[in-house]
Amino acid sequence: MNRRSFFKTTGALGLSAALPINAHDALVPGFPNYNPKIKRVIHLCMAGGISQLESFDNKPLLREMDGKVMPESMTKGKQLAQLQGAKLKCFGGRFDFQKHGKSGLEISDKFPHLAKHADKLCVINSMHTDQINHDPAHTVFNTGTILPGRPSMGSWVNYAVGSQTNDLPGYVVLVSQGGGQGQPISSRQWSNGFLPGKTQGVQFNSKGDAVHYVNSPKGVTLEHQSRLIENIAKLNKHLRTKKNDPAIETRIAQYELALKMQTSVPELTDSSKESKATLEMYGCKPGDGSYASNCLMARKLAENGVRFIQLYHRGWDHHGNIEGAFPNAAKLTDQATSALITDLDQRGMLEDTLIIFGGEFGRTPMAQGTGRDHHMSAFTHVVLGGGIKGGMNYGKTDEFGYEIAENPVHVRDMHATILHLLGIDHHRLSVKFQGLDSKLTGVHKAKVIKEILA
Amino acid sequence: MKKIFLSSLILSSLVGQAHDISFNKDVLPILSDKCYACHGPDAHDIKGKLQLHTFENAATERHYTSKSGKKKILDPAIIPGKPDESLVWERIISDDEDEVMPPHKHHKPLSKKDKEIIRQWIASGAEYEPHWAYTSIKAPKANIDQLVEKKLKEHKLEFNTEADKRTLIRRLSFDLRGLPASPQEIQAFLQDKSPDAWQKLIDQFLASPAFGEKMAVMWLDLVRYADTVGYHGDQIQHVEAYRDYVIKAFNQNMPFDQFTKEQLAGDLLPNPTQDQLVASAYNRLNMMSREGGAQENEYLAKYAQDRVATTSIAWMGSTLACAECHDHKYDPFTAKDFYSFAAFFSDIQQVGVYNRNPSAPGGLSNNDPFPPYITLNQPEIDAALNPIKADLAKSEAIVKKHHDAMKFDSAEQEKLNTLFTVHADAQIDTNKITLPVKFDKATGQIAFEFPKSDKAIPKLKALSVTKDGKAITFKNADASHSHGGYHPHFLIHKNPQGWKANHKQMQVLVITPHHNLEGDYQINLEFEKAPGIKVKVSSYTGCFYTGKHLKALRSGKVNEKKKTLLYLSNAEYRTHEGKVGQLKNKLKSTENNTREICQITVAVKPRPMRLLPKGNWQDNSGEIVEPAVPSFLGKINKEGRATRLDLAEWLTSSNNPLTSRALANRLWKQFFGRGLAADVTDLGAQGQAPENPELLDYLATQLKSNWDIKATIKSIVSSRAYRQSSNAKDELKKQDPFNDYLARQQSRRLDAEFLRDNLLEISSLLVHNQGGNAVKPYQPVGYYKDLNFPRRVYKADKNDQQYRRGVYMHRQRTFLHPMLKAFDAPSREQCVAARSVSNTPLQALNLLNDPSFVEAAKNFAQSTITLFENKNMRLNWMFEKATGRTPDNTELLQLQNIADSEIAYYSNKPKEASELLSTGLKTVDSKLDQKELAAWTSVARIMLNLHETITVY
Repeated sequence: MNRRSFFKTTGALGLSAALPINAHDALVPGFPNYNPKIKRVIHLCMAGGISQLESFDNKPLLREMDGKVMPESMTKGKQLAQLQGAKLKCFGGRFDFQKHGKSGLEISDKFPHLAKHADKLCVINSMHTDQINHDPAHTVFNTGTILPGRPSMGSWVNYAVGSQTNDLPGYVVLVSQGGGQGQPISSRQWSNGFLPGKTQGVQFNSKGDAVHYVNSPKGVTLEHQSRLIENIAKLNKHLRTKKNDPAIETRIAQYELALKMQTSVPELTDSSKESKATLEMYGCKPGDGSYASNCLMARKLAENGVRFIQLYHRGWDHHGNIEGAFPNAAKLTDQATSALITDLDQRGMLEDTLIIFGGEFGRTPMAQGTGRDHHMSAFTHVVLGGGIKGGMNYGKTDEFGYEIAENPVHVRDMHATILHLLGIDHHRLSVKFQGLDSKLTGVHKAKVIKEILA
Repeated sequence: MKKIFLSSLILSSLVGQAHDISFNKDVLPILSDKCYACHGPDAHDIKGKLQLHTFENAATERHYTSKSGKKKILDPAIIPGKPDESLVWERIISDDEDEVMPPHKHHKPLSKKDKEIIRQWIASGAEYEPHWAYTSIKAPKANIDQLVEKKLKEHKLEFNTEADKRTLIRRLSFDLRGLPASPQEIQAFLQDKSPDAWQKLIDQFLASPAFGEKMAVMWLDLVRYADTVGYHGDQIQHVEAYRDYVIKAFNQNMPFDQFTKEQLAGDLLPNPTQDQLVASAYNRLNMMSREGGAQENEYLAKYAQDRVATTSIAWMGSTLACAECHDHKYDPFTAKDFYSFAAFFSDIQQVGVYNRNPSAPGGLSNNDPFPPYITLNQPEIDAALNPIKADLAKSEAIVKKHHDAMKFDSAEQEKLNTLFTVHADAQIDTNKITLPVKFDKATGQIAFEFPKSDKAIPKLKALSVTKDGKAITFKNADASHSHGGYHPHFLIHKNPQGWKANHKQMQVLVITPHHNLEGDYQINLEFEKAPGIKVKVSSYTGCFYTGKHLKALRSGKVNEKKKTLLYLSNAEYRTHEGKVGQLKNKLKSTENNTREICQITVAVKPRPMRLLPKGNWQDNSGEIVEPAVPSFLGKINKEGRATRLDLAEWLTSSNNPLTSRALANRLWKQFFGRGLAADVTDLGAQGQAPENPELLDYLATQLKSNWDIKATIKSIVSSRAYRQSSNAKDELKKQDPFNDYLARQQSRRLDAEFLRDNLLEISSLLVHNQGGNAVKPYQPVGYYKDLNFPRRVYKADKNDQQYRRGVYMHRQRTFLHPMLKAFDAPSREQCVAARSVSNTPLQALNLLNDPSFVEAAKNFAQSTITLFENKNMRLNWMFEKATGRTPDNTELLQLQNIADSEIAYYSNKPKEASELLSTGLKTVDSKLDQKELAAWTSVARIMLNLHETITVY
């Protein structure tokens, strides 16, 4: 019996008699507040801090000034990471940029595949954040604050509008392997914080069980496991006749859902059946754990109703040898990201998906040897998909790429915009925690970036 | 307390029945939640020059100076007794969108009921009450049950029936020990008909060492205890001794004021004991970073914030940390209070970024300490070391005795020269030389002495000894010196690399044949080129010696010669000199392998603590503050700088009503699933006022009197309120959905650690040892793959550590064990006073498929079928172990069917059976029928997965 046919028959085993689970399983009433533009979010996190100056923010003056001392007026009193106490010199972009598409968007030569989508991309050159080190900067990007214990944006979204799937988690995280990825990433980044456990991000693994404990023990077939769960449910139902405890029904339903996951997750994560054409388009081999494989998985998760999908590629922390290492990281991500866009587009799903591509911060226009240090006051994010204007730049940095010259976009503005596209008013999405109405967008003013909305 | 009787028809129809309203319970939650963000205590951020948090602010004229410098007066916002003339009421009921309060854009509309409460409150005089949590504690003249009953009567309710004895003992056992009651304990309790049976049971469980383990989990959540630092590389921090200290403190019933002092200021106590220093690790449990490029001051500010947040929630139930960037929006904490509180901790020796190795330069391993720390006395290690030390002392004494006794005079000098028999003494002027030698008696070693030379000697390529053309073999070769890469072993293994040494000093080469030599031999030496040097061939048969010995004898200083002579000529000296070396090595390795360390607090000169405007650590413009408690709560009366010890004493002093209330409230939650004030994190304005404040104050009074935690717990679990059934009719649940009136108990899912303990204990797998290194149960392979600096691999324990209690599990902050995570254990990155409780498919997957629980089922099955032959007895036994009760007829019938079908299923599946039984370290009894065992393992898996098994009713 293959998994699909098994899956169909499990219904006949009587499990469906348990409490039905609502696919649109928001945990709080009242959302969306208005008509959503998108159904899902795919966040492609270029962890380590992808350099904007080698990708989407072309700075001719910086190139001219290469090797010269950075004007002190720009850097005085500013926070630095590893360059603390060092002599600050200009470091021009290492790669050429070309104009692409009808819009003439400037993109570095290291992203030839993404460049083909230029007219779909909205390049925000004026991102800024509060934290200059990886771990807290990721926390800010995911939760809006440096304080641990706060929910991540994927959890907030699932809390407010629920998932669209019965047999998968509503928030899935994929961390790619290989290709010189050094930066650690904490599972805190996809934590549900003080929101219900149901909304937590679930990491899918490329090796071993795709989801922890999703396979039955050795010597137990899926049919046998299903009979076991059926028997547990019988006994639990009997308990319910003695105890006025609705948690029993929830428990029965969760076991039913677990069984569904035991069938759907391995099926979904089995890429051995993908066509050669698909694998070639993404540039991956089944089960290699690469970013490309994860992009393919992201498409499948999106198709299956997962609300929030997050990919981490941790190969961008180019403190040194940026000329050698950056093209490598670009190569590992460019084709697959482009394939994901094409694939979603071909399936008519790009129009209701928001894709976000960028790091937890950017990199300095100053050299750190042959690389660049962390930079939080100006960096670039690319967004595209449903509700987003394509072929545009938003915001500008100064001629050195050091500070934002116009239209700054704080991380919380990005959060407000993501929520807005999902039909959620960020002011209204709050939960009382430690006496405060906690919000993803925090206590500081956050704004929806109206100018980039289609 | 001013009570207003609301008889208005409107309100009674809204709230269901007429009842008294109180400012704290009814009015304050509305004002705080809907109004204070703009009209509250934060004086820096007020809209419309109006604050509503005190009567004076709300009900008197507001004087202010306009921007142009004119003195202006505004009418009072509230006119007591006259809502219709009060600005507040006017704005609340306004139908002008720009006028109405709260503003639309705040999305905090007032309900009809809210509005009516405000109106009635103003109408009856707008009296304010001090916030309940900050008022002094008044001891009620009644006990727990009387206070509960009073509340029940108010709501025309009664105590629920008492739970049956099986439910009671199971509940009490989980609540006091975090473990199930065993069938034997249940039987004993059922049979004990004495009137004090319950009291005896309480005393028995309170005295169990498991009590400390149960209580510790709650405390370790608060103080965010973990085994790793949390930021970035998330390396190991050494604080396990602190965890054990907490367990011990609860078991010994250490008074909570002492517990407080030792943790906050153990290092400041006079002549602190090791335990008190370990307790001071409390101040070092914050997350720390080793990330290169992190800023020292930024991280010091993070650590300071974290300590204030943790200490204020854990001891005061206050969210003082909210005042880091601005005055508190809802409670009377100012930003200055925050930094003054942080200043108590500014004497702690620490750095912001731990990216340098404290002990050695260069790389940092996962285990490198985050100083300061102490090395712990460990009696069991001392016990292991003491015999080694004694032996060492004895051998050293013997060595010294002989050394002292020997006079190194000319006779001794002469003796030296005669020890070695010289067999050949030749000049070597060709690269190859053959020397004939004759050994008169059995010779175990042959020595070659090369005199010192002012030119480099070519390497010796080959050396052989032959008798009648047949080569002798050797077991060892040794030299007084060898150049790197030219070892004397090469000579005896015929490696042409050969031996080479520094001949600016005399050198000795010694070779040891496999068998003693006697008679005529030829020695053949081959050099790279002709050396032009002398060689002396000699032997000594008294003992085994080395090249260094002979060199010392020939060319050493007097003392070296003396030692060598002793070595060569005195067997006893030789034996003990050898022992001294061996024992010293043993001592060192024993120490290094087993000594535990613990991070502690060391006080140094305090860093100046500045008030950081808007919490910005780069802004140095704020004033420098001294340690102080929040000013509205009083102050520490002391000349000079107040210390952490002063803080600890103030926290548990009669001047501070918060600590005892916060602790009492959390204790209550442990036994009822919900605090008397529902938000155990926050007793402030944004928390929830207790429905039964007198009951909370009763417990707080009891605690405060002598800080006896066991006594307070005993009074809680002795009560009738605790012993009620948790089964309640829908009607009651509707009337009192959150059980504020306590007309029932609450069913509760076991917390993650105890859920694990329970399943292991049911299965007779749990190992009850206490304390020690963190334990590592099975964990999915590759779970730490995304960790770095350094990379690491989780190694699950391969011995009994595998089956220890959850409280001892290794806590990796950035990757909490998936089982703990699935069941809502916090990552311990920040203070948590209340865990969330979820019910998810990931929990089901874990209980079904985690190898820990599959192995538990296997063991459960094996122990059961070994005990009983009869199927029904097996089923009854298993069900009782899992749920604490016997199955009813329906259940038994279902279980019989399950067992029959599982037995039939595995009867022709030996392969599946053996696969199932291969899970986990424990091997099964091979004498048992494997197919039957597998079938019963399936039955056991069902037992372990029942909702009832993981629930306390």
